[in-house]
Amino acid sequence: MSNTLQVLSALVAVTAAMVVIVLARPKLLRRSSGRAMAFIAFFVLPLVITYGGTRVHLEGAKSTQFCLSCHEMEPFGQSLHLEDKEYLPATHFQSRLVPREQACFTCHTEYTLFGGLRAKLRGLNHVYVHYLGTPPAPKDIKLYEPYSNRECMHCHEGSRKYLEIDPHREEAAGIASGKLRCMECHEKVHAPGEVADLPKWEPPK
Amino acid sequence: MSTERFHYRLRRAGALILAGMAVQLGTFSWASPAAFLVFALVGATLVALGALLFLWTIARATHPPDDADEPTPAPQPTPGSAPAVTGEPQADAAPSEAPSE
Repeated sequence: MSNTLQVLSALVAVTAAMVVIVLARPKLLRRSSGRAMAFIAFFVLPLVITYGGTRVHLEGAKSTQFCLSCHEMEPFGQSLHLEDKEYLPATHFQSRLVPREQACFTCHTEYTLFGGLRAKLRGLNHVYVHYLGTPPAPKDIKLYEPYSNRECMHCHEGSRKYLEIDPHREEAAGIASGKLRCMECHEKVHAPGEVADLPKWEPPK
Repeated sequence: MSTERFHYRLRRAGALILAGMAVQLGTFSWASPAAFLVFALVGATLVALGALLFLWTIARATHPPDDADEPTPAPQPTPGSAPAVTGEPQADAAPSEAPSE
C-alpha cells in the first residue's frame, strides 16, 4: 500500500472516530472547541479525504493495469510482449524504455501544457463508451490524430543512441518540423488484429 | 430548530459521511474505471450530501442546543388540544434558547 493510501486510511479512521464521538456526546457542541471538532469531522476531513482519494484514482488511471482492465485494450496489452523487437510497444516495454507500470500513459499522453488534462477528458469519454455506448472492435480503434513526433522526441531527442543512427541526423530538419513522421519509418506499432497469433517474448528464467 | 431535530439531522449527516468514506476506501484497492465511477458517483456524492446536510443543520440551528443529551419532554396533552405525536421529530418545533456560553 502506498504512503498516500496509508495516510488516507488513517484519516478515514480518525474522521470516523470523531464523527462517532460527536454523535455520542452532543453535549460537546455546547463548547466552541466541540463545535470546531464537529466542523472538522463533518466537513473539513471528509473533503480532504475525497480530494486525496480523487488524486489517488487519477494517479491510478496512469497505470498499465488500469488501461488494460477494459477488454477492448487486451490486444494492445499483448503487443507489449511480442517477440519481434521491431514493434515499438514491445521494444519500449521489454527494454524498460518506459516504466512498465505506466507503459500506456507514457507514450499516449501529449507532452503539452494541457496534455494530461486532455488525456483524462478523452479517458472519461472512453469510460462512457465502454459502459454506455458501443465500443469498436480493437482493430478498429484509432488515434484521434496522427501520432506526433513530439511524443517520441520528448525522450529520444539528443540521446546518443538516437543521434548515432544516420537517418536521424540526415533527416533532422524534417523530423523537427513534423514533415517526416517517426511512424513513417517505424511503422510496426500495435497490431491488434494479428497480435494473438504472433510469437511472444518471455523473460528467461 | 428543536434539539431532537438537530440531533436527527446530525446523525443522518454522520451516517452519510461514514458510508461515503467506506465506499471511497473500498475503491482504492481496485484499479479499474469502474472503481473511479463508484468513488465519484457513490462515495463522493454521499460525503458531499453528508457535509452539506451538516452545514445546513448548523446554519439552521442559530443557537446550539443547550439541552443536548437530555430527552425532549413529551408535551402534556391538555383538554381540547391535539394529541402529541411521537417518533419523527417535528419540523416546526420551536428553536432552542440562547447558547449556554
